[in-house]
Amino acid sequence: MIEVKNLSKFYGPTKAVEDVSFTVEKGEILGLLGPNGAGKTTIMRILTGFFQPTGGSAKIAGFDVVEDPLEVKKRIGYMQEGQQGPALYYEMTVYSFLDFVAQLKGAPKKDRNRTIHKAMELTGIKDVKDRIIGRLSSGYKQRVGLAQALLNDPEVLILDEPTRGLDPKQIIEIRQLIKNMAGERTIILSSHILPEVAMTCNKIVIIDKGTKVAEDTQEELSRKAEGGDSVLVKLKGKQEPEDVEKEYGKIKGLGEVKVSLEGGLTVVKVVRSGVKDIREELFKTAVKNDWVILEMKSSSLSLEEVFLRLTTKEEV
Amino acid sequence: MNKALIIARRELKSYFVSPVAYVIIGMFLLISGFMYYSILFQSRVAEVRGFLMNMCFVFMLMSPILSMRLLSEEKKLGTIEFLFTSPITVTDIVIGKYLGSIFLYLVTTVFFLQYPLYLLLFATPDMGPVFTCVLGFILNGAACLAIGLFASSLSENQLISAVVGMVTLIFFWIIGWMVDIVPGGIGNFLGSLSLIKPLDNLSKGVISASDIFYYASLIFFFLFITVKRLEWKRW
Repeated sequence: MIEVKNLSKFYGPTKAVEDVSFTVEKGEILGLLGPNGAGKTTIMRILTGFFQPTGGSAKIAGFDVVEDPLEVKKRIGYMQEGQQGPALYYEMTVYSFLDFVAQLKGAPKKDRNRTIHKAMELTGIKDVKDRIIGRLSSGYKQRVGLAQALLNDPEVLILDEPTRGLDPKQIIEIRQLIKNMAGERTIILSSHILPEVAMTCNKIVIIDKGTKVAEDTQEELSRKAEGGDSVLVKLKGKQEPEDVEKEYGKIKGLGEVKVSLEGGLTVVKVVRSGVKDIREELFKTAVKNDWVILEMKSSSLSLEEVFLRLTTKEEV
Repeated sequence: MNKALIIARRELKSYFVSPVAYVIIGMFLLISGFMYYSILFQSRVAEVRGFLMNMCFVFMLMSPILSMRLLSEEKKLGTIEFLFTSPITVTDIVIGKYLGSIFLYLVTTVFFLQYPLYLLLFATPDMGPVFTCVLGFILNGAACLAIGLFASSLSENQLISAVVGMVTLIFFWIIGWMVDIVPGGIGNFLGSLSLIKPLDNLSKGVISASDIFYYASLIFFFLFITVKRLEWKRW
């Protein structure tokens, strides 16, 4: 659906984005993750046709953003980030603004009211439809920005920092909203907040200083950064640490095994070295030795840690 | 073109949401009323000619205030990005913005029409020149707004846009003097750029193709470079 190839953007000699490539399949949610000033907004602005790329190409639904900007713009809904929340016409009422946008997007007159109401319902702004946008709280402004992007059912949604400036409850609501919209729509969102991306996106591209430092699914990314998952197993009763180490040592593809006794339980920390899922083997071995597993969890590196590792590597 | 009208309509509405339109139209009426009264009272001639020239000059000074926000404000608030990412062309945006300000100007013109009507009530003016005077008022305003729109595309600071627009307009007004200062073809060429000469012709009741062409090309030129300016900014 979205195809970005070797995209670069320079402002004079200043590099904003260099050689970034990624693809997004239909129905996926891609998260562009990076610190402030990493080039996320620039990438989005190129995708939406606001900026011309210096090099490389970007295609949305098969249309090149430079050659067929109008065709691209017809297929996207874009929520941009302004200085104070999304840039909207603050002097207009919610409804008249949405009506204006629907007209610009070429919604036929008879469908306009319906499409506006659908967008307002999805974003939960029906009860403020006659209020002046400038007087709404930032959470509502953000929703109006989102509603505006949803008008005319775009195939692709491009959301720049969709949860910026919201309180925790609103953040959860907006996230849920975005998740609900995936499937039929393809979504790209940007954020510098990691849990947000981790929770909403199925694919993550990490950008730092204008270049792509990693691209993967959320789980893959965590695993790569650590070089393997570690699994924590808690066994009932006090087992002989040496026995446990010996038995578990028989499993192939296992790294280090650490055994400790904690409060009447035997805690085993196993580091995986290969790609194979070791949890099944861990279970079978336990059954064979008549150990009772009370708890087993695979702990992967949190996105925060992965992110720090990936972005600080360059500087060292 | 349809999309341009959508933008124009929004633009016209937003003039009336803020006090801008009311203040400008109100001030304009105040000055024009006083001028009309004093000019007519002194000359006692049933024509609007002298009045027209004065009003065009006043509007020339005021028009940058009308046009300064057209693009500067959008740039400052970031809403220009919103327009640029909508499925419309830059030409649509520029024409829409321009038409929006023209519509407001036409609202002002409706008030302006009252003055010839007073003449009709108390005298029998020659309606030919009155008609061309109204035409001149409209064309001069349209030219001023085109220049102001371009000035507005230059900066995100409305004050700078207004000042640049005003200086450019004054330049186009006084460049007519060059005919007397610079001899020969250059002087004539510079003189032909002036806003005064075609306005003067129209106020006398003369409609010539070259004057209409002058206004059309001036407006086209400034709208064209506004489009180019907006496109260039994003490269």
